[in-house]
Amino acid sequence: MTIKPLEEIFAGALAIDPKDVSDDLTYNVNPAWDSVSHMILVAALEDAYSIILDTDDVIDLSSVRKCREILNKYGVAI
Amino acid sequence: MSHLDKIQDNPRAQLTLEQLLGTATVSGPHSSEFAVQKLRETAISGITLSLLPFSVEDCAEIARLRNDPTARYFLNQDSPSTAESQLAWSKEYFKRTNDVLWVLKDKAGSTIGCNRVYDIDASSAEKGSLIIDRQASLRAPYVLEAELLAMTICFDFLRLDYITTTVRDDNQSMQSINSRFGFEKTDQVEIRVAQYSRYTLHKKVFNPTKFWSIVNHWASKI
Repeated sequence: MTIKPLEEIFAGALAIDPKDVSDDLTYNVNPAWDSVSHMILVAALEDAYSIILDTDDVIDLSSVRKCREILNKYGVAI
Repeated sequence: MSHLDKIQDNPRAQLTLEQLLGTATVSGPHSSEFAVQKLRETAISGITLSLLPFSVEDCAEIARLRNDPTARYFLNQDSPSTAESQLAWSKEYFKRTNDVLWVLKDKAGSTIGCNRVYDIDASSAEKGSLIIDRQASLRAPYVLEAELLAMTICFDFLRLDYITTTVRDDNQSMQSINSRFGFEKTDQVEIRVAQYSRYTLHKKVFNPTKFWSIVNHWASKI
């Protein structure tokens, strides 16, 4: 199975260029990462990696860096 | 019993969005005043939340929501809301026939926010006063569903041609959200010394399908 790059998932959910996705990209700091795109992002991550994120992890998912840590917990190494 | 009968016999009937929209076709042409009255009498059960028509019992909760520092800033509210000030506001609200305020509750029945459509006439309405508890906003797509419900009600129940909204220029989050829905900036205004942009969304541009798929994705998580 081909693992979709995280940058692509973020770029698609937030409607930004993949080049603009860095580990420092942070919820509500970058205007494109608002509460609606956050929900789009969560759905996209769950679909792409066949996981279901706990509510606590949905709330904690505050940056790309944090996202990698959370995905690691679910066995997704990106 | 038809859905319209349900509303008439039980003023606080709870309908799904689909059932509510079904009453719009069953009842035939209706004035916006008639439709607004129905919205003020009908609780709407969504996928992640419910829209409850505002009543005076909600005054303290609405004041609490409006007093969140971020909400208060973006609402450009000079002084704190109180249950009394909200009650005074409600007296004028109930005299109006072009304004609908909803209290938003999660599926456990906890109040998580409010939303409003107002200045409703035969062709348009303004949406605004959306407040969602900050922690709650990350638990489920409450912001998304609250906005989708309000806009769908405007276009498909109230049968409006367009929706306007006025957003403070430094409210980048809300501007981003409106942009996703297809709102376009039409004007710049100053309100109580703060700069606001006015946006418009026409019915023909509104395409909620992919947004509803996101809300539906969450249905199994709740």
